[in-house]
Amino acid sequence: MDVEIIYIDDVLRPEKNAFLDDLEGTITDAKQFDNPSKGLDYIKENIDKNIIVILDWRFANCSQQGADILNSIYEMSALVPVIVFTGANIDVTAASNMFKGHAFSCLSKDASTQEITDAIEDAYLRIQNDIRSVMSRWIQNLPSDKREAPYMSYKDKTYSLNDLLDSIRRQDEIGKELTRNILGLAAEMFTNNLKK
Amino acid sequence: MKNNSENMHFKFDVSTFRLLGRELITDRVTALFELVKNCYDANAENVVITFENVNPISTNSRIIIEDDGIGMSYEDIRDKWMVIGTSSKRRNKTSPSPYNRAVVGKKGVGRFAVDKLGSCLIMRTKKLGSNELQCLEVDWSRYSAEESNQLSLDFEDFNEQNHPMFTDMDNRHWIENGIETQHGTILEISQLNDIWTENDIRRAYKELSKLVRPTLDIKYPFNIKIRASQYQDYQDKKVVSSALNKATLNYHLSFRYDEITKKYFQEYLKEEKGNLVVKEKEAEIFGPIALSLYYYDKNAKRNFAKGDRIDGVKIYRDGIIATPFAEYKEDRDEQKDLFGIDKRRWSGFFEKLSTRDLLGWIDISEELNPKIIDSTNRQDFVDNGEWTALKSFVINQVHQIELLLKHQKSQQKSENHEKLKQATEDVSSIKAKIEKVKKSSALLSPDVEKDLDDITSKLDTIKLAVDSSAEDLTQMEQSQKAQENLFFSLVSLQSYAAQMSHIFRTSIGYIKRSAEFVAKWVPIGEKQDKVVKHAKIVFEDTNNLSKAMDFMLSYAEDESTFEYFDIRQAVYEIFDERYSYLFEEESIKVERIVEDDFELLYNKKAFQDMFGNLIDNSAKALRNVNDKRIKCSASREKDSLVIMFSDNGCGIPKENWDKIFDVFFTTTADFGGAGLGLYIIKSRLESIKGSISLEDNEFLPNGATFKITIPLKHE
Repeated sequence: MDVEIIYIDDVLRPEKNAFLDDLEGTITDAKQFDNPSKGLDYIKENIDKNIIVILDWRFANCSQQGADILNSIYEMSALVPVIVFTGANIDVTAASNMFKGHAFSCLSKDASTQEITDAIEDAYLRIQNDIRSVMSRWIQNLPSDKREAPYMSYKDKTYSLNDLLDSIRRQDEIGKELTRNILGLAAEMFTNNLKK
Repeated sequence: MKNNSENMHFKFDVSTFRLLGRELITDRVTALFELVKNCYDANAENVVITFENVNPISTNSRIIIEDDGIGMSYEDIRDKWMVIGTSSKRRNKTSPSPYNRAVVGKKGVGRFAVDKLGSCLIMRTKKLGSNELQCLEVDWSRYSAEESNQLSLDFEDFNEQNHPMFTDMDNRHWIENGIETQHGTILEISQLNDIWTENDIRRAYKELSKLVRPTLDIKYPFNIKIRASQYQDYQDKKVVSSALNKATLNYHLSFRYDEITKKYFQEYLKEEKGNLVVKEKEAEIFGPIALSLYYYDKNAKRNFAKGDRIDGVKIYRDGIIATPFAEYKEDRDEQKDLFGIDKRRWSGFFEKLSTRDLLGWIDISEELNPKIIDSTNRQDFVDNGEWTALKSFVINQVHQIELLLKHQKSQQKSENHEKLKQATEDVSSIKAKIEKVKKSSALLSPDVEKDLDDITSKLDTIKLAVDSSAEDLTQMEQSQKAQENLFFSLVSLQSYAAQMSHIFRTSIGYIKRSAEFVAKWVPIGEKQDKVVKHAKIVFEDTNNLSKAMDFMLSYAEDESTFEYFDIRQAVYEIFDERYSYLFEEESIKVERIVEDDFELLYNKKAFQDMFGNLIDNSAKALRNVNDKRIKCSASREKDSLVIMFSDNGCGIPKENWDKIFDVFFTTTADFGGAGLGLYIIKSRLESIKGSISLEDNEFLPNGATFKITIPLKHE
């Protein structure tokens, strides 16, 4: 899998994570952070990569909790799947907060390597197939001069492909509309073909 | 391939109105709110909401919302009102001059709230200076009918040429004569969806009374009136809040801008010896705020009219309540506790205020508090650092009131005791005076003497009653204390159970995955170095689980094995016997001082285990030190045993100070540290209301010093 795993947990025992040893060779790289801010900085710097985040939910003595970190990641890019990994009991409110924050899935801290690997594979599949990720990859693969040049106008404003990439990641109004338009276009082309 | 280009347009299905109206606005009171907010944005000063024949529902049932705002022209209706998601309010953050109100309905969907109330809308609107009343009829039932019709068609048969889209539906527009000097908008909603009972109107009243803050002193007021002629109480009722002058305590905090430092400074409350003092500090990350807090005691609450309710602290942005603005819950247990005031555990059950004791508001503004953002579902705030900090500020301020009340309570308690003591003394003194009178005057008539004897005997009875009251009071206080302790234990037990399950789940996770790793890779014959490592992890974490299990068992036994033991002897046993081999082997110089010889009522094993843990940690910290030292001194301070435990090891970096008592936090994982020892010490001490803290190191330049406090009196 062309993907990097970022594991953020305040109680890290890096050497003990058998699932990361198991995945060694299957994934590109794995980084572990016990300081959420450093983890977020790393994600920001590497936002162009395929990333999956495994995130602890409760952080002791830390102003940021799993929910805050989840939101921060979502603000950076809606395309990064976050798997919440928690030792706490998840009640309905906590679960609702997780998914309101767009968590990809949630695993208990006593999950097996197989369960974690399955969740990672599912998340990778989303990275591969999600229309927004496909659009982002398409833009990322273009030469930088093409990315920076004006590409389209919308509501009296001109956007370069880099602007659109940012909008798609942040899923702002334009990002959402563009995604919907392309999906709509694809659906229309598909149904037109059916008619023919 | 086609060469000629064509433009593509969005089209909306007829169900759009349902999506916008019913899905975004979930409650009919919320819907009413949205419409009243639009009046506010249109610079209205007065809004009248009339409920006509709303119980039962008939063809004559109406809800009419009438405002004296700026109204709309034909162009406004065509280009703004009829355009979904009109962004003019997003572009213009304030309403037209001179009101310049911060607009509250920003999503341009408020008008679809009508559909939540009823299916037919007739809007009459007029701008100042025009004599034409613009009238528009929107019949949502026609949209509904078209929607059902389209849904019944097969997808294949559906042809958009023959079936109108949302934007193709016609809505009737006409012009009536109007009076030039009048202005505003009237929304007449008929074909109502729901019956509005008196309770529903009361609910609407309560929520509307929060929309504009009651004491907000603004130049252009915003008044709301409810008229529901079917109900006696709502013939023509102005929406006001009557709760504020009934409060027991009230505090108002503001902020100021300092021209010299170019910074905002925030006022805050701090309890100091029975007084709440207003202090000032630099504004926090969420920006400067104004905060008003009203506290209601039992007596104050009795003054409340039926239906009035005290329900916590709300946030007002630019004078209008922010989300969750209308989330009314019939069952108040389900009402949103925005700041987590009711969720707190740390202040003890009996000293804790709840949202039912407090009413208050925070004034924020878009300009000064831009990071306090409504979440997209409009029922909460975006969970960011600023919001977390604001919550913590509010909780702290509530806690300061709690400290004040606690102080007042204890003062009241000692005053009561003092009064009873005084009463006993007064009775004795009167008795003595009577005796003196009897002795000094020989000429007392027999009747007077008899009366005096009677008085003396009654005084004896009174004295007995006063003594007995004093005893009762003491007993009552003791039993209340015992009750509080019981609740405290239950709360500790709850968080303890949560922590233990966290410990077990985490360790089981490691063991499970390491065992899985070994089982998977041994047969394949690869990753052998890691196989050995994971086999070791299985062993180590099983040990951790055993330790946690021992702790659980000892915790279970703690209460039953309390005994009086000699502190000096218990400390010497540890240092001179149990750990002497370690000190010898590692060449550690030990100094243990127990100043007074006295007894402690506690679990002796837990007491000694505590030193065991601290000594183990010190031994690890002293690994690379030449002149290794451990010092332990115990002394009696007031009603507590205070132990200072120090070493001159590598010390604990400042950044880890707040983490070292956390479960699983360890810096000595390489030497078998599991991060359980200090957590266990702390939990045990807290269960008997003791404490452990990290202090500045006693040995210089490096080292660590712990201060342990154990109460000597157990209430």
